[in-house]
Amino acid sequence: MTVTYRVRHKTVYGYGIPVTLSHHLARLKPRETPYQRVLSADISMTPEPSCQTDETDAFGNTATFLIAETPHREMTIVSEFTAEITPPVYPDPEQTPAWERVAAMTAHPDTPELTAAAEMAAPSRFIPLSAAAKAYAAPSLSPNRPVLAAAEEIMRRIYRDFTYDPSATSIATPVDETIAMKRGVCQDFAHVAIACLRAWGLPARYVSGYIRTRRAAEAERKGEIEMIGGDASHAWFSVFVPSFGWVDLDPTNNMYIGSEHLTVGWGRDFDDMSPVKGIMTGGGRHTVSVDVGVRTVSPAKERR
Amino acid sequence: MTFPFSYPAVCPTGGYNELVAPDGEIRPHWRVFFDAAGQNGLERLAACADQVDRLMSADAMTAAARQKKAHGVIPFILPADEFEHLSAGLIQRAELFNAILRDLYGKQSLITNGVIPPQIVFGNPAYLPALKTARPADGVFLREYAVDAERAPDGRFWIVADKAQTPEGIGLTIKNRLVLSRVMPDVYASAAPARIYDFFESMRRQLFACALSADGTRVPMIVLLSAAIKKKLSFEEAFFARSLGIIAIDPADLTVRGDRVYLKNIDGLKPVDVILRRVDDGLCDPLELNGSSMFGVAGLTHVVRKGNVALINPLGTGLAEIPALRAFIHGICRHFNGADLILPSVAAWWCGQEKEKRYVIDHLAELKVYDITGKKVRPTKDDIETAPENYVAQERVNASLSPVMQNGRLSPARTRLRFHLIYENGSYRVMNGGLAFTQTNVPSLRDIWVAGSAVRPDSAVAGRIRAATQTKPVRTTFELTSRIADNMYWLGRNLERGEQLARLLRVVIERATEGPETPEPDDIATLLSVLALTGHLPFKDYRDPQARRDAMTDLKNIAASPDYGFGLHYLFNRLKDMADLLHDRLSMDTWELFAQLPPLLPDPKANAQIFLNRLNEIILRQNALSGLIREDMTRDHSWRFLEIGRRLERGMQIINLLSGIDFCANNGFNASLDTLLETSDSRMTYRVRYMSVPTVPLVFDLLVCDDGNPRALIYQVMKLRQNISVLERESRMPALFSKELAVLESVIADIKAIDVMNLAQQTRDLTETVAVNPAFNTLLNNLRSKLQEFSDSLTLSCFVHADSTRQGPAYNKGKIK
Repeated sequence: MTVTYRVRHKTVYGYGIPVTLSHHLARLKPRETPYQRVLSADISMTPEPSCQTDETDAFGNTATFLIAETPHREMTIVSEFTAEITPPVYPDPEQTPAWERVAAMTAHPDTPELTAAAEMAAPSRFIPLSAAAKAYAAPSLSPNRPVLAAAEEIMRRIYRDFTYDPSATSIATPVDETIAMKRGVCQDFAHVAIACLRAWGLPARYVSGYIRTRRAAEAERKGEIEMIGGDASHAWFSVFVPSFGWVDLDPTNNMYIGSEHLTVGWGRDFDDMSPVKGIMTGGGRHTVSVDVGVRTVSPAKERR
Repeated sequence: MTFPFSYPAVCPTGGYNELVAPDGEIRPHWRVFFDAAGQNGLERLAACADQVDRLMSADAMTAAARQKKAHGVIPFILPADEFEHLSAGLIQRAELFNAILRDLYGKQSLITNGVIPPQIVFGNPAYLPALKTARPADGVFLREYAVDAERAPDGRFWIVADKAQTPEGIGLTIKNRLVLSRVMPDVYASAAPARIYDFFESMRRQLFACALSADGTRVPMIVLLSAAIKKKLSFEEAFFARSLGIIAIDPADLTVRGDRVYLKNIDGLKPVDVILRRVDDGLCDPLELNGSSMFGVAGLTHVVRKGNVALINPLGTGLAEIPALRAFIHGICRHFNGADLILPSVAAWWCGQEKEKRYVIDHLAELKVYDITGKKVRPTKDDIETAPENYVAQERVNASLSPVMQNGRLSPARTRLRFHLIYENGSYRVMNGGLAFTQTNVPSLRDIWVAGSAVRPDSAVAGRIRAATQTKPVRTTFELTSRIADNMYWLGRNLERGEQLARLLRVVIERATEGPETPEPDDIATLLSVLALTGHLPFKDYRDPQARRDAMTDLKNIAASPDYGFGLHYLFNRLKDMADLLHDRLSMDTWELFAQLPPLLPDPKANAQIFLNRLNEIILRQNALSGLIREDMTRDHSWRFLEIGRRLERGMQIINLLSGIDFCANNGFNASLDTLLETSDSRMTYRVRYMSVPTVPLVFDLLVCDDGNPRALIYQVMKLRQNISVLERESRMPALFSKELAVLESVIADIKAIDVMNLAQQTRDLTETVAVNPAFNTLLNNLRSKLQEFSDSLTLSCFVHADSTRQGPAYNKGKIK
């Protein structure tokens, strides 16, 4: 059963002093995945950019290169796309290979696919090797535990042990600190899970995207738990399962990604998938406000 | 032949003796040199050594190059057959590293085939995945390459380091050669070492060849990108820039627009074709290559990806320098070549493997240890056990010893050799020479001579290089980068701002400490009000004695506190930083005066007398600076921007002072016009002109409209117009500065139209408050905003190049999208 979504992600930057020139790299356009078909994707920016080009980055994501040459105190980037999701089918966690085997395969890759996976087992800028993560993950990595069962348990434990708290962390909060505080947001939880898996030699990557949130009232009425992470972009992690591929897990909501997750792209950590990076001339102090809307649309209507 | 001078046949270190064989005989390839240079004992060599050092430092182009380094009068001599073997090994290694880079930023077959473990590449900060999609168009990753080698006791050369990212040393090698051949022409002629200049010519050809592949339609723009331009454009960089006839620039001189990278010149953006870079990979593009740094050229990777600029070396070469590769180099060589290395590579062990880790831990004391990025570290055994994959250990070579002159005597010193290669016609060319590093009490960098070559140096090329190192190219074009112009402009503005603030502070502190009876309270209140108007002090009624006393602490902070945002402390340190950035544009004396300003600031808690003494000293220095700038600086375009900055700031300051009149009047008292005249250095002029008590219209006329007063606003504006007109004329581009000139003309017209008698109602009694007309303030605000408009326009179009209404001819916006 496929679902079609329309996503609108608007970011407004306000600057204390005018920005006379700026260069940006936006990773906002969604990529195709086995479960996601992209029907349309557009990015617009004010002031009108003097240059806007899409490029494919080293991990296969779309990066939009933008230059603004008109002096401005406010910049708006709007990303709008329509994508069709077919809920992924995952392997039975208990039937996946033992984690030790996966770690050994990753340490000595002998196919291009494993080499690419090995790249995701290495430490990265925001996820350096972490002794704290290694210790935290240890109970879930009992001998011969199937890799996906272990990853799933790590996800559940993070969901149980960590508190969602946007005030606790910033973009730059190190993984060790998040583990010590047991607080953070989706991006921190993803980083923690990745650090846990990599500490034991397992490939794990950072996934950036969106989740469809339900209004609190609606959740109440239906007696469902509200999904956290709305009104902003979302993030989760993905673990490599040999002979199957990558399996995405969302530690913020304690679930495998399903028909309500939209994937923009992935990388080693947040740094590879930062939605908008920029280098400005001028600007001074700045403010950011983000507005994300995810809604379902009738597929027939969209296609027309 | 037994060696005639005192020199050990066996070196105490047990290292290979380069000069004397174990039987006491001088090795044959050194004979010619000592036969010629040592005929009359060592005195001549000692004298020549002195001359070499003098020539090297006299020619040193920058402060950094003047640092103590001996250059050694005795070259390191290699026999031709040995060099031939070395060359073959070096070329093989260069090709190997080129292949490694192409593979790791491509298919990564070295990893998939198990030749190298993934952990040494992935997770290594030297590996930048973004570059997988920004490979050099022709697949050549290594265009320049240098290798360090040491000779082991068994007589074999071992490679100990690879310099791939910014392989430096060619400039110094050529310089060494020039100096030695000048100091000892006869010795040089009889020894006739193989020539090195053709290598340099080849390099020049390569630079142009790269440019042609980028765009064959016009004269290519080639720049040298330096990370060190701030304080120490190294000798190397300066040499390259001069002898290749290219300009040395800073990343801030470049900007990416559309799919190209441009040099920001004051008259527009010039497309750049080739960048000879002396900046590490991670510092080339803050947008894509290193999220934690602001250094670099935003978007440069994008331009590389589009194939519109050639970098030498291309981005990514930093990966070739990681020491872990040396631990696997034999396997890599067999993988690519099916053969062994010609030149042995020093033994290295990556601790991510159990056996290797054990060996390293057991031999830790005798090994050099690096972290995965190549930084030398000293880990404990526990550190290695905790994160073994982070460490690489390398064997130490008991390096050979070669003769150096020390205190008039010959002595043996451990020596490391650097060789350079350049990509040419599908393979590499080795320079027939290089640098020998000797670690004595003063480290020396000596010339390497390849002996036994019958070919005489190519005098035509040598002459050209000689000329290039000695003559500065004549500037025939309108060449001034925006960064230099911008810095000069702000140097001028801050210099003037500092002068004005120091003078103002001196007057007010002086008055305030003269004792309760003497000063007119309005004098101080006027100046404090001006300081409030310019944002330095809170708005208060400064006729109140308590407010005045409170202000004293603030004044001291403005003068001296590092915590106060825009006071003298800030201004002086900023001036010093800018003078550093402009060190090659300022005379040594000028530069030193800038450096002297910050230390003159008193402790913010010092008493008023100390403050006054220091302020007096500061003002003296500032006057000296102004004098030097006026008298000593060449009137080139960079000076013109400094002058523009000064004049504009002085104009702004005059407006600020005059605003005080209106402000005081609104607060019910008469501004002390006498004090305002004093602060603006116009009291004498006023007395000469009027010989009467100052009145608002006359003071206004003197400070704004009187074009015979060098302190008047109109005078500043006319100077601005004069300088901008020169720029406009010499740029040979019509209407380049039309907007700035139009603003200045309108300011001049506004000033000429002022009827000063209309600005204030003169009172009969001086104790009565003068009624300032509303027009007074409107007029000042109008002038201020026009000067601001002038500054903004200049900034956008000359420095930032962001104003979309005007671009240089080469930058066609319509083509970009």
